[in-house]
Amino acid sequence: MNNSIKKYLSSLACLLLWVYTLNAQVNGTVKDEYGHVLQGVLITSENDKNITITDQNGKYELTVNDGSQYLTFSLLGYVSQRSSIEPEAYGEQIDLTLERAETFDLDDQIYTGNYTQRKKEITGSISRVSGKELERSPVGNLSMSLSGRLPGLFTRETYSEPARTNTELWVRGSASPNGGTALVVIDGFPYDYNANELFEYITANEVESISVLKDATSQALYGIQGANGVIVITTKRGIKQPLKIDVSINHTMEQRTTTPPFINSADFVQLRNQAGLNDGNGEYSYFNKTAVDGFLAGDNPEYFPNNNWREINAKDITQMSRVNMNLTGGNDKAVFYTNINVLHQDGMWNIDPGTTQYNPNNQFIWANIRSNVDVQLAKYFSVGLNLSGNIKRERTPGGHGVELAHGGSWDGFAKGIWYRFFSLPPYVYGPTTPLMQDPETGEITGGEVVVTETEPITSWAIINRLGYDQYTVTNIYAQFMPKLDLSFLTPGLSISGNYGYQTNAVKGLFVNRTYERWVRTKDYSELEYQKIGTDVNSPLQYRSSASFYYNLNYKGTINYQRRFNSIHDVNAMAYSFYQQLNKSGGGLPYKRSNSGIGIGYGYDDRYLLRVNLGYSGSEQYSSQNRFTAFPAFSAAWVATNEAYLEKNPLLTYLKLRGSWGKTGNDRGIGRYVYLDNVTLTGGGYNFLGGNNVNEGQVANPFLDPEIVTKKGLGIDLTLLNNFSLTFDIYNEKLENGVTSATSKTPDYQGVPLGNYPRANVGIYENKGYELSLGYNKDITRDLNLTLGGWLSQNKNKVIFWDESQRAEDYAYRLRSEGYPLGQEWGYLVDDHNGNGYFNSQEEIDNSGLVYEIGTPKPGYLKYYDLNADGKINDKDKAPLGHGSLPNFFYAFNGGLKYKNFDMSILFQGIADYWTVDMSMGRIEYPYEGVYTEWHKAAWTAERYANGEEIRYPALSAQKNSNHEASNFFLEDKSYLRLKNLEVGYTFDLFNGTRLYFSGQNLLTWDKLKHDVYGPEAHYSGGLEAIPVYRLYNVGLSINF
Amino acid sequence: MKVMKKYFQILFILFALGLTVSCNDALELEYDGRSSLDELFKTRNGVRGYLNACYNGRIMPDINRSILTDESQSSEMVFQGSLASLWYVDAYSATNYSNVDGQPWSSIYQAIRRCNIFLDRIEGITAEELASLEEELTSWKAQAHTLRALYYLQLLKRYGAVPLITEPYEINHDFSQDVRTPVSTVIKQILDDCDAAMSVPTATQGFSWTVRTGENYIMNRAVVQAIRSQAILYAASPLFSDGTYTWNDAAEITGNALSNLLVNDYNLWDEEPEGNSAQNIYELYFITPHDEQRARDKETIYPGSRVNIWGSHGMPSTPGQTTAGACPTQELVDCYEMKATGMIPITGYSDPQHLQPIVNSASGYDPENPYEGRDPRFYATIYFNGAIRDLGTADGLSRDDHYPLNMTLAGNNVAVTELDEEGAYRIETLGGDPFLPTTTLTQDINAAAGSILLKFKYKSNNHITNAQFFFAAPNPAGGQSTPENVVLNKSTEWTDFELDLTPYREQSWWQWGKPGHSLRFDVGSDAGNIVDIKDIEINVRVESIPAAPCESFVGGLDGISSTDRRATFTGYYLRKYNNWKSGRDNNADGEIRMFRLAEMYLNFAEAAYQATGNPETAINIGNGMSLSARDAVNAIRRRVGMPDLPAGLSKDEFEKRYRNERRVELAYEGHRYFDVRRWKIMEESERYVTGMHITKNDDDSFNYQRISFVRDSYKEKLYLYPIPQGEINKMFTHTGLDWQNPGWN
Repeated sequence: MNNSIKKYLSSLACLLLWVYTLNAQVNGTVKDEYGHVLQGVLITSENDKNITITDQNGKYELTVNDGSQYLTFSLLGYVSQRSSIEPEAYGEQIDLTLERAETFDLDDQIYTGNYTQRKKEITGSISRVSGKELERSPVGNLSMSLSGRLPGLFTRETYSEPARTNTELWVRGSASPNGGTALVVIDGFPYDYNANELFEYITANEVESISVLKDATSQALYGIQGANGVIVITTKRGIKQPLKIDVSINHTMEQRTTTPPFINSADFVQLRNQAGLNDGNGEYSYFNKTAVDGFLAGDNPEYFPNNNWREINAKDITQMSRVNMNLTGGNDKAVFYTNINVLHQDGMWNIDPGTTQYNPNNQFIWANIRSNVDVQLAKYFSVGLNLSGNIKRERTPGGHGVELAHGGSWDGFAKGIWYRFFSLPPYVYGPTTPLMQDPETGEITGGEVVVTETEPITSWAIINRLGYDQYTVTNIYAQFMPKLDLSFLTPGLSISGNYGYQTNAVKGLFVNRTYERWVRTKDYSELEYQKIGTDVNSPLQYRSSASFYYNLNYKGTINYQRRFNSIHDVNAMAYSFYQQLNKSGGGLPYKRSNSGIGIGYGYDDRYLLRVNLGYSGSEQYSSQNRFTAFPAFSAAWVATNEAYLEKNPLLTYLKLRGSWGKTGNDRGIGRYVYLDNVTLTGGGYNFLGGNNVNEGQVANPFLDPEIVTKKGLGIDLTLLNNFSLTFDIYNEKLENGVTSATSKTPDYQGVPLGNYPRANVGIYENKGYELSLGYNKDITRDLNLTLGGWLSQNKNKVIFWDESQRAEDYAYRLRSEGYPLGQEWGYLVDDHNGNGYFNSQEEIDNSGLVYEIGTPKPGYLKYYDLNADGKINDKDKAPLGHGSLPNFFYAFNGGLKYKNFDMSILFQGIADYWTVDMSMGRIEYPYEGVYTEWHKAAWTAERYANGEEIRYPALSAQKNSNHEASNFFLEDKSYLRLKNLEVGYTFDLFNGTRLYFSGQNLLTWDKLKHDVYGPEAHYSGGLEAIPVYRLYNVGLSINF
Repeated sequence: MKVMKKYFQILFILFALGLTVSCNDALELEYDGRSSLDELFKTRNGVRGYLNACYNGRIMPDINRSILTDESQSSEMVFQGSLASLWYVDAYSATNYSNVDGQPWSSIYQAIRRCNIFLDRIEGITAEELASLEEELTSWKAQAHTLRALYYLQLLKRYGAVPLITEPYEINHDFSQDVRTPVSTVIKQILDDCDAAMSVPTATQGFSWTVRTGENYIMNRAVVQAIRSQAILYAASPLFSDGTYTWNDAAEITGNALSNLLVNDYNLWDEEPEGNSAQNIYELYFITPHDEQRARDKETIYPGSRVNIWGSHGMPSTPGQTTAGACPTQELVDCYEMKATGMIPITGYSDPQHLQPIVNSASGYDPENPYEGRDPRFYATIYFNGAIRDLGTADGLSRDDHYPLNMTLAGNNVAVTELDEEGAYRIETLGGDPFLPTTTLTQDINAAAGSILLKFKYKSNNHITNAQFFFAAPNPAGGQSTPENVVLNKSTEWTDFELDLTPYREQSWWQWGKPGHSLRFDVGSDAGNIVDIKDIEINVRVESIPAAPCESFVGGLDGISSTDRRATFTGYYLRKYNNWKSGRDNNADGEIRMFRLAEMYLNFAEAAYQATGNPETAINIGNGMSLSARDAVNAIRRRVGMPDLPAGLSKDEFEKRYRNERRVELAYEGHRYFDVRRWKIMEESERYVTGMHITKNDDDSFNYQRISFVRDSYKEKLYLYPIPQGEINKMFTHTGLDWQNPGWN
């Protein structure tokens, strides 16, 4: 067999010979153009079998035994070089000088989760960032480091508790109203469930690179899962080299970027009484004169407290430490990469010294260990093994169950504490009742938690009285990756498998107790307390919970990669993938099956073509509609490889790209939508035998997955080798969107609308562009400068969503069709009178307006009667802002290297983003009143008469017509942030020892008209949101 | 090469595995217990289960509906976002509307759809398992008809004309032809469904008048009568009447319904309170939960649910109270007649704000002692300033409950024999560590407050100094020890033993005293003891709260406020349904009923005087009975000891007295809200309500001053609930017509 192949191959003159007896020994030194030795240069043989890197002296040694004819030398930031080797050479020395690739590194390997391409072969649209770059961000969660680093990836931090941060990741906005955030692929396996959370179990240190697949070319292979974009994480692997140990130690100080200004008791009681007065309850409705005078005087803090609950309970600076060690190395038989990473996040609360039985402070210890091993079992058979285990232990103040018992909701560990700093007024005595000693018995009473009528839970009580909750999460990835090199059949052919699982188990331990609740009586001339409710001071009680989920993954791939005649590049693959997801308590396993074929062809590095076909199935659909094919085509032309442009001194690189393809989405619908869900259950009346029937979803056997057609055009160019530009423009259209029955089906037909069958009739469009610029210059032998930036605009629009038109007298008869996703609606304030408020009863009467949303009083907002019917109601609402996703994302960065000194800087921002903010504290009436700076300048007849600034309508203790969505609450949420700054110095100690200082979220410029909270707070509710944190980090990394 | 081939084969197999699992079958649904309606309607349990689902959707009466009427002003009006705070300022539109039952449009229609499906499918049942169940089948069918009638009645009261759907819609139903069916057509359907239900035989398994054990909440013939009575009354009322149904029809049907109930053992509750349980008959009825066997309570036609007055509508001086809730208005107080004269004390107001009452001096009313000599129902319904709250026992206990326990016969190192005497045991210890458990508690002793005493009588052959008791609960809670070294004296006569377990309850974190909990008796530590024991019981005792009268005057314990939701806003607190024994550790409050016989009397009285114009014209109501409007009202009055209405009242005079009577009798039962609407008097009744601001003078006398609350919630649109705005938009798209109720656009 081999002979016949040999004959065939040798008949092709320029074809590389198949010589598997070749066995060369090569060594040498690699330097840069200035003669500095280069460490870390990756040297790979043509057939990818033999790999090594240079040591700190730039030296390498490699045995080539895979029949390769040449070696490739590559290093990030340098132009890769090829060097041919002599067969059976022994001790051949190849010394090289690598040139700075000042803009594109065209040999960058980009992995799409299914196949690998060099950057120069790419025809679609992919952004990539290396793990090294991500390491610059001193953050506790990998997803926080992505912001601003990947053009086309929109990030937003929706929860900011240190080390438990949640960041949403959107690829090119939203591809479908039912879609959402991007699919995450880790080492070849796609994860849909809890995808965002998986970033918590991986560190930048372990990451080789992260690629974002933005267009249909590579998304098509993910079929039904591809439409929302794909984020591909690839972990590091070992390379053949002597054992190399890198250790890094980081210590981070965390500080809130914003801290809400404190409203003191004196202000509070006046504002509250003002609200009561405005509501018609008289001058001293909430606090009598004694109280007001007392709080104003402020000279008796015992009777008239002024408690800043945040200051009492929260630390201003918290700390995080991280230690990381990488071990890597190997020989011809086996290579390994091992990582150990430990993170400790310190608590953010002040613990009362009396709370000594246990430490409830939120603490977070996270350890992960990864070992990626590749073993060459035989000449053609190798096995890869990935094992990664994480253990995460979180301790938080307790009381999950307690809060639920009091009718609250629990949406975040620290959040429940944080917002109560503001929902509990500053005038409340506390945190506990004073200790009293009975003069006769000597018995000491008191020390009980002081609450209010409306808020039975206080921050102090959660921290100090509810015990603690502890969660231990273990997350394990295990992958077995056999690979058979079929080059004995035909060169470039291989077949590989990837089998593995990911398990995630959460054990909750709840050591909780309850506490007595006392309220202070309204008589401020004495300190008297009254017990409310039935809770007692109970001893600690133990409960526990357990939950888990796991993914089982099976994948097989055939790969073929070959260059014929030095001009025909063929790159083909086919794969098949099956995944089963099981959740505790989650019913039947979730199953999906994807497969696909991809073929790339390149002619002379000038004309590139790629055809990908995904074929995937989801159990959501009936057997007739279960599988869908997703084709994609893309092509590129590298103009600078044409003879007439080659070696052009100005235009050093120019590539034009175009792609068309389809991807799909199966999210946003229930399970098994093709089946009726009727079950016979228990729990009925005895006289009916205790039987009951539960009717759920009504089937639609014809429902299809949503198919998004994506088109894109792009250009990559380099000028003078220093300046680069990439521009992409895209359009995504969904024409079979799954619309909900709520749009046109009336309720009175009797099937709950959530169960009513849905239809594939929606039309939706998402489009935009991305522009990236880069500049990279070695100014002198010792000084290098890089500058870069990107800008993207993304807009979506619901074109048809089976929406019911409203009656003719509506100012806007449609509220979703024709508007972007998440379009907000509300009233427009009529400020013709100069300030937009009714400034007198007369003005209200003269306006002739009838408010059907609560009768206005002087100082209330005056709304436009858009439909001119004399009434203010739902019909007068107008669009506010432009949807739930920002229109513009941008970032720019710079880097400077001078001798051993280096520095990098990253700015990131969003623009043209408006949302309606009616969170607690923005509006004043929730709880017992929550006041912030603008309420101090609320409308009063007096302020108006004096011509003072008015920043808020007349205060009220009740919901009224001011508390409707309106452009009064519309705020510009644009911001620009100094996201990351790093300064480092490398000492010649061991193999390089670097000391560095870095910072995250150092400065923010925003357009908010207040300092109460930052621009991102509205994702989770204004004052209720834990502010985004600023991080100061000092780190030391040592390479042994 | 051979080795290579082997690897190749292995890999190929692995790869093929990857491919094969991904075929279509792998994505098929594994069986998860889901069924289909077709399958369900082939089995008895399936049919019964579906009928049970038809029961889901009844809207139970709610005390809170009173806050939306002139019965009460809610202290919750100061609580941000509460129903009252939004309702009184008219902050509701068709988009955000909410009532005490939310916005029940879709939930009622979902229930109607289930009834439609049930009635549709029950017709075609041929399955063998069900063929032999004829009686049961017909009963089920009658229940479904009754439920559908009830749902349409509840829907109509709220929304007026509604789409009438009596067969389940197909998924591809064409909505463009749907209409809001006129009220009279819906009423006809309700009456037809009632007739259909009544046409079923009253057999053992059939559709009966009586409610048997285990049939709590079942739909029966009596409920059908109540639905008929209420439906026809509404149909003839001004708000709903389109002339199809007249007051004559109403008199006939309400009369027939009433007589049907009377001949089938429905009677007004007339049980006098024993001892200190309640002040009068009327109060006792409302603090007594209905009993499904109808042994005592023959008045309740369809029950509602137990309420919590002491906490949710209670007085701040009651520990654990959360809100004063529905504070009775002065208008309601003014309605209660003088018991001696049978006259209404306040006949009206001379100002729109109701601040100047027109006192009927002939009635015997004394404005300086306004709460004296009133209708007994006044004292049962309202806590006023000075009202005695605690009807406590002479020995100062508000609670003295006894929970008997027996010994079990199996222990460790003991021999137990039952003695001849009932509940007496002989325990002989046979070795070291002798112990044995008691039987378990069968009910919760609710002893979070008060004291828990362990009591029994014993004889012992030895002086035992190291007996012990353990609190025991089923696993995994385990046990908790009480003090060691409990002494049992040597005695040959029955000796009383008493041990206060109260301090040790705190140590048993699972709160000993729940059903299933028991005690373990450690009979010393030696062999040879013989202990006889009998009359073991747990005695829970709660001391009376000192019987302070209600202090709603300014500065009193329960003083009036305008900002504190725990205090009354009107000077009154709700007493109806409130058992004076209720408190944080023991909710003994009573029950609000959906239908009761008194309403049936009143419904008939209203229809009769409207139909005849003369309250004294007797009408034949079937079953050999005849009754006039005045007779019917007097039946209600006599039960509480009020004098008869005077004879010779004109229709208008009678109407005034009737409406007053209905308001008093049915206060806080959810009727007033609908009555003022169907009578179309809401604009007068809802705009101003008043309270009594009472100040205590230096000489301990009181000064009474009326205070007014102004509401925006009297507007015409509030006659009916709005149909949800989303529904209006959809129907506009389908039909081009505006389906909204008046005023909600």
